[in-house]
Amino acid sequence: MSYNSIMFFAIFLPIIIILYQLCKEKYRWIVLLVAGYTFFIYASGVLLLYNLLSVVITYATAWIIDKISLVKAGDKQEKKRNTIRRKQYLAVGIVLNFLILLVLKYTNFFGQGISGMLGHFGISWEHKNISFLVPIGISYYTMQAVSYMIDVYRGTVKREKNIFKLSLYLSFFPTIMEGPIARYSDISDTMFAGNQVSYENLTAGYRRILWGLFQKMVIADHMAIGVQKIFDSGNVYDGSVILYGAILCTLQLYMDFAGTIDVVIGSARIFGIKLPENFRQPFFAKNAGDFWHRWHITLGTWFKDYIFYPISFAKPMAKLSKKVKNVFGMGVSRMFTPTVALFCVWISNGLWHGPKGTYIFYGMYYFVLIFIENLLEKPIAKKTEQLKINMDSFAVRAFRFVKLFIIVVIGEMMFRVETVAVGFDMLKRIFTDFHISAFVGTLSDLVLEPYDYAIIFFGMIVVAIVSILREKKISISVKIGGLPKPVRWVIWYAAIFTVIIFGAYGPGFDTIAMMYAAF
Amino acid sequence: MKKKNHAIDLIGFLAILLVLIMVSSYLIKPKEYDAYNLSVVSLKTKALSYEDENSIDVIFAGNSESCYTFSPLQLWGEHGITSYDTGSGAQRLCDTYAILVETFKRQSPKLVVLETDSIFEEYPGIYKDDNEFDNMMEKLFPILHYHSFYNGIQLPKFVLNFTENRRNESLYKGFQVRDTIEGFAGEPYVYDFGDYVITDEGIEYINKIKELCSANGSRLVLVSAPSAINWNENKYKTISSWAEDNGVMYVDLNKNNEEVGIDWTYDTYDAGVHVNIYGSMKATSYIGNILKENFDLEDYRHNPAYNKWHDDYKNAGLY
Repeated sequence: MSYNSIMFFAIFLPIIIILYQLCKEKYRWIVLLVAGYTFFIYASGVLLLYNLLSVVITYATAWIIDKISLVKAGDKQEKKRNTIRRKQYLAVGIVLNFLILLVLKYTNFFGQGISGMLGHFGISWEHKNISFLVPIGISYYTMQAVSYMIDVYRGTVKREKNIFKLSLYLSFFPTIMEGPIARYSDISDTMFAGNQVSYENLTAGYRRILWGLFQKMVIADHMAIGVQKIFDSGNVYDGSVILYGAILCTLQLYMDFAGTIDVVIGSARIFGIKLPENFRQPFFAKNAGDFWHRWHITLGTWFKDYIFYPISFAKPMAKLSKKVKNVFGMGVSRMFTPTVALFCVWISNGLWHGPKGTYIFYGMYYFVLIFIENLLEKPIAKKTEQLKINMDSFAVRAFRFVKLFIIVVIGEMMFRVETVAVGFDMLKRIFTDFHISAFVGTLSDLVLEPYDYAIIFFGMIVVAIVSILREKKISISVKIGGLPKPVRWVIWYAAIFTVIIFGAYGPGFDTIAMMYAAF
Repeated sequence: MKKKNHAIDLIGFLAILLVLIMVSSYLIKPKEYDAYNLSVVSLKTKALSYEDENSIDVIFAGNSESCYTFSPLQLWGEHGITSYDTGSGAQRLCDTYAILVETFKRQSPKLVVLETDSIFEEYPGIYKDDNEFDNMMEKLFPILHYHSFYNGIQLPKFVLNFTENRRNESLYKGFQVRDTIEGFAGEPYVYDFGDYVITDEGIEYINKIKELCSANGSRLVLVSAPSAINWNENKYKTISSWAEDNGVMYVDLNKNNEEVGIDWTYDTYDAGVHVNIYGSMKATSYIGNILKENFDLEDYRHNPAYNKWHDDYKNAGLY
């Protein structure tokens, strides 16, 4: 059951809302827990056991860490010993959680890598692929579990004493498939409060769901038809078609993921649970670094808090940085620690998306870009000040937008292709084999009909307008809310019928799975 | 009080929504037939609307085996017969019927040549095969099934011309050109003894198609297009038996391949599933002769009213 199915938003969700509302405040979280398990079993059956195993590991780890913290240390040495023990248990908890993820998702990837590497040294060892059934959302709930354990260790979160409540945090049905990766401290209060479903939350939640469905079903799923065709045999098309496919695939991924996240956030909102935002008009970012503060935000902040900072402030890094300073001087030393931490963040980002060379390339692509941005930040600022260039002028902003768009489109194209080599071949074709005439000729071959193009075009204009207004802190939803009831209702009916009529579903359309549910 | 108002608002909003969905469903649902993919029916009907009224004598119908095999322009070039190919990829029998209903409104074809591959589809009817819940919702609220009705709305000509396939659709009279070669190495026309039966729903639609043709003074002919993968002896037997029982002429181009002359090493673009342009030339030529011999089909090549066909033949540049 995907979040964009009628089964979810017209049957499953309303049933949960009614049951939740009928229950006593104290027990409402249990309804959400049972809903989470039901949803999980519906999608992954008995693989729910993997999720429950993670719950047990996470609970036990937090329990031990908490217990050690409560022991009153007699002297400094005992205190130090306790800290080391807490750290050790934390490490065990993290490793066990990641081990499940690694075994299920990465065994073949690393097996093949090792086999290839041994081959280089003349050792013949062939890895035989093992196919594992992977439970839904494992990459997401594992990140949540790890963040929770670290937060308990750091003392920023109070340990959850009820294992079932912890289980709800790791199997909350709206977030289970695509995130956002919510922190325990962000949602625990509202998740367990059992607040009743208010009229305001119910309507706001469904409005957000509707907006998500528009992006996913009307725009992304229409684009999917053409994108699939181009990327199935990308390296035979003309450069113009490849460029078109790369742009379309970028927008498809954005609309698919952002749309689904809107459905997710809207669903949680109905129960008064405020999930963190995952997108904030990413294409209005100033540069690649800023883009990642606006795109898949919760993944970026996770890496920042649990990889970037710990590495940056680790004692061995300080020692290493000192050595670098002695050999290469202050300038290099200053860049050394953040660059190492940045590298770790982006290799993790690539690997998180899955066991594929293209994903690792994707991570490294952004590492290099952000590294260059960091390197050039000061010299560029100095130069623009000298030349008195107004960085807020329209021309500069337009240039920035185009530059960022190109960066993102290339990145997403490499992300989407089967192998890095195919990606480079396609990229080369954009520059060496580009004919507009071929583009016009191939448009018809992409299965899309004239109406599909029109739907995509007008859909994107609506998204662009809404994004511009959001960037200016104007909420259309609030504006509509201020209108007289008949006008308001007509607008909502029109929006509902736009999704019903122009959505890419039913006969003639293949069901397009939510793209980020695969990670 | 506020709570009560909110409840009334919610119920009111949902009740009006339900009424709107019911009314729009009633308005959108086709009255004369049920269709699986209304877009296909609309697009084919729209493409056919560019032909002069009552100018087509032969209609080819079916799925991709039809539209990759039968070329109306070749038939024109060789015999002066006017025809149109209404086949399309994975077209279901129910949609073939719907397209024929629409076709008979503007055309009076003497013959309807139905390609037989789609008759064996497990699901020839109007609902998706794999999702009972969605099927139920679509039955309750037909707008969910027929929501892409907008494809039937006529577009301005300049928009239509923008996309090449619409031009080709009209230019090649529904025939789809594939000029690449991916040969088939196996044994064609395997004597497969699988249980190939026509589903009850399939029988229902094929009977409806036959009745529709009779009611419109048109003869139904069944033809199995050359396909090394999709066709076999048992399917042939099943169709032969139905055709005999119903007094319908049936030609299997696979059975007669010695005369048709398909070379599966070169005449297919997808390893034996469909023929390419070279295979279609042989198949169209063969079926053209049969139709000419067996039916009273006029040669319009010297009739000035059909000069447009000469232009189309020349502009297509296929032969």
